[in-house]
Amino acid sequence: MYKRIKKIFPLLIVIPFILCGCWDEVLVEDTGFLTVVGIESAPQGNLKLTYALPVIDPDVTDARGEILDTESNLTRIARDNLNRRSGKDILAGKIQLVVYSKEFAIKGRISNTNSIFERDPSDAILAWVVIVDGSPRSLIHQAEDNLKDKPRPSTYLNDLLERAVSTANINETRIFNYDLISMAPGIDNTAPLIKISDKSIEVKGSALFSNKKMVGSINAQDGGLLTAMMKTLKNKKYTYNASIPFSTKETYSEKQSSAIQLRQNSKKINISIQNNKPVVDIYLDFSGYVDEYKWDNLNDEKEVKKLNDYVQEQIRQDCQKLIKYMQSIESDPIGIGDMVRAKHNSYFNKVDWHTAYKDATITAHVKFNVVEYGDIQ
Amino acid sequence: MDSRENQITSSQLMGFIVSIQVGAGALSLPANLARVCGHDGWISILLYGIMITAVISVIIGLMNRYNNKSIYEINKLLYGKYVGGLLNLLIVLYLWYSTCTILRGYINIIHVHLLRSTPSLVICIFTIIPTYYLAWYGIKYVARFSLAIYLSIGFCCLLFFLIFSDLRFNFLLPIGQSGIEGIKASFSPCIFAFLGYEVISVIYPEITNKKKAMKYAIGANLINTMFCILLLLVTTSFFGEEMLKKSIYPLFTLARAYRAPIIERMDILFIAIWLPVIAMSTRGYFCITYYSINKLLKLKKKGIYLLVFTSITILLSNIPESISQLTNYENIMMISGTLFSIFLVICYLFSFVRRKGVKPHV
Repeated sequence: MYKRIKKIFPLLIVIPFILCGCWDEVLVEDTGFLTVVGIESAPQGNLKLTYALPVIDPDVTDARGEILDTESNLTRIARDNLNRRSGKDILAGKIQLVVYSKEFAIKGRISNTNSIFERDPSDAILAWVVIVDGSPRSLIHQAEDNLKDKPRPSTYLNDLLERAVSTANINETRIFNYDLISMAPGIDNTAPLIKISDKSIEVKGSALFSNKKMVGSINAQDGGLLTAMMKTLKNKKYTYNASIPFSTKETYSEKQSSAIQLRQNSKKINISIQNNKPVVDIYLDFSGYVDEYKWDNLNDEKEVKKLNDYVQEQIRQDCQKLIKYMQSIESDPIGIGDMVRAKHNSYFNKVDWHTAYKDATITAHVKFNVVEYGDIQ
Repeated sequence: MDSRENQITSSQLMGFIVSIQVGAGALSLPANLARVCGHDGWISILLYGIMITAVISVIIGLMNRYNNKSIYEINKLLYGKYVGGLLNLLIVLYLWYSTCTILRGYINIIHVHLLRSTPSLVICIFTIIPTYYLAWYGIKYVARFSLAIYLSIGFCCLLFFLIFSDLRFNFLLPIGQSGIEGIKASFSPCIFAFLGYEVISVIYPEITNKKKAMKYAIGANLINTMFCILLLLVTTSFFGEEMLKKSIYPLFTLARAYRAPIIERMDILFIAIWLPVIAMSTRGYFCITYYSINKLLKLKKKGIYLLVFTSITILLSNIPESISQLTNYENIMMISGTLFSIFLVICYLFSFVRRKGVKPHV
């Protein structure tokens, strides 16, 4: 019996892989795989769409990709329009990035536009949701025309974003998690914010949302602190640009600053309701790996203690400033509202969360310790 | 089918029941429960799971009171030839209806996720060929094949493990928010998820080691309950109840949302692994219905009647035209299944009043 099971099980494991081949024939040469979609507002509430697709044709040697511009009321209709113009059958299953313009995000139109990706199972819901400071159409065209020394726009952007996630400067926002967070009460979305310059594309930071509308943005440095409060910096390579204690003689920046890689040991959020207001305490515990620091005696305990206290206070202040900013724009990406909903449900149901969040007392408590400082003292 | 071709062991019965239960309801269960009781679906499943276990005990208890008889013979003993015959006809109609409804659901999934432009009838014919082939040989072979359900469940648990780091357990809180009202409202989706256990009353005489039947039948329900609870905990804490309410098949969306290295589209592989599960559910009801018809009408020309039965099933399964119509048909199946379960409990109680055919000392 056992021997038979041993024979049958590998067969059962192999069968699904073989069956995956039973599908309609799709010839790569005859297919246009959309990789980047740019969406922005057009007149009369329509959509201005820009599609980028790589050229996979041995006969075409002078172009890396094809860009198609169109305008339509719906993304699906736009794709049909493209099918009438493109020499290839357009497929959306390989879309890697959906780039929205900032003004489109401010109007709160992303969520509804995303519905096609959720509804049609052949569409990828793992594509990035990205906000561009400017026009997505101009970004896609410039990336294709001007950034010849860079990989294809989709690959280049995808690599940039993944690197920014690994350094905790942004949070990973794919279509499926953008949609589920935009529906969940008491929590708001963030999305990577990018900008194109003459020679490159830059991940500027994160766009912050409130009630499905983009309401503000933070830079990449603050993005790391937000990640520490939202999730954790574990397994991330977040480098904190810290000011260090310096004397008045030390006027150059290399004497006044230090690059410290932060590792998060723990995060704890305590929530209580006092005088009908949420009181939130966020406890963050970091270890620091000093990557860049002036020539000094970091093996001296007093010196290290001084540095620890100084940086600890600085991180705390930065966190506090970030929280205050997020409260002022009523954006709650940390999900404090979700925690209040879970623990103080009757209070959450009673109030309008974004108003209550604005008035909440949120305090960051930071603990920081330098644990390593490289090969020199 | 000769009698030996239908004989199964208790462990095969367990796999058979699990395959029918999991295949029919698991895909849409989290979404259906989220709509009626928010994030507390797992509590409802736990409570209804316990209730169904009690019903299974009663069904096996009823079967044990009679010597090697199915519900069809018991009905004739309890209610007489004519009323019993009518009740038997209703049971067969219920089983046939369930076959057609689940087959239609299966085709719908293939239609939406894989072969959009292929006509339903064509998909239906091709998907039923393996079922036809297995039904030809008898329940024993169907039950043997249904053991593959454990592989699919294992794969599903692997998916749960892979997306574990993306779960937000806050989405499950506060526990019990929907209250008693939520539990009451979740009756239909929960019962639909558990349907399949009632086939015990039909195939009980075919079980070779009946002493273990109770243990394995309850084991089957326990596996289904635990799997459903795990499924609900994972999908709710992954999607949140608001997103779940808008989904149709959250289990597939979950597979779509996992970024797998190399193969990328995990959903394609997941569908390929999950399709046999849904097929097993259809197959289970199909074979039981054919077995029942065979038994009641004492058919001899197996080939012709199986072909006729299959053809009618294909035609009937194509009656629902849209997914919303299918939901209505599924509701009717759920109500019928519940009535059938209540009927079995009544039979058990009535067997104490009318003791004709009851084994002595039971």
